Amino acid sequence: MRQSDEELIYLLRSVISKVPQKMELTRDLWPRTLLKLDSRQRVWGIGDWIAVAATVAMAIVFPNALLLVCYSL
Amino acid sequence: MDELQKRFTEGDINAFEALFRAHQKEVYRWILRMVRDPATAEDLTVETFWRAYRSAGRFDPERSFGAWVRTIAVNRARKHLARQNREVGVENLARYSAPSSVAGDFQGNELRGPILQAFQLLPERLRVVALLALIEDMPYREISIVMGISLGAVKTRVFRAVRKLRKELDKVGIRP
Repeated sequence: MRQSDEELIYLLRSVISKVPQKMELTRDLWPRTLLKLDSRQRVWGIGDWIAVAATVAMAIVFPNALLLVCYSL
Repeated sequence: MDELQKRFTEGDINAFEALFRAHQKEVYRWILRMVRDPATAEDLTVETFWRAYRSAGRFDPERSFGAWVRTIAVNRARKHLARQNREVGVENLARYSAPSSVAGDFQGNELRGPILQAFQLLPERLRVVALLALIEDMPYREISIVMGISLGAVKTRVFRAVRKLRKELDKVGIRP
């Protein structure tokens, strides 16, 4: 590295400091991660959408059957 | 550790928790060095482990979990930096600096803005390497591993970042 590059790096470091060593993670992130895992697991998958599409298609093709189901409920 | 990693690949949440607890601080620190904002670093740490868990089936238990999750973390942080607003980027770069540390207070305040702007103007791929190598003083070898690039590529990016910075600073009359 050239002398002028060293000077540029010195200038940079005087304006942009290293993240201090004391900046440690102060809290446990496991509960948040677990929550995120749970919430994403509840998101509908492709199987759910196929089931919905099949139900709608059945309702269009056999409206009487749907009415019968609704009536019996 | 290998047994733990094997259980993790099978989707064992307890094994994942053990690995999470062993690596969360290191992952957070890597992300913080890049994004320089504690709240964002926490969010990205959670995101990193969430992605790791979702990709557990693709992880080779013979490899190091730490190295694998660090690579995911660096990729998440890079994506974040690429999307980041320029003003926020400058603000985060200045976050841990002493108010005026460049030779003399008056001169320091005058130089601060243009230097931060010039650094933020670097393309993301050069900025990240420059930040880790020149500011955080990380070994080139470590940077090459987490970024998945060769040692030569790290050196080239540092060289190009320095050259580009010099050019930008020259435009505003700063010639170190």
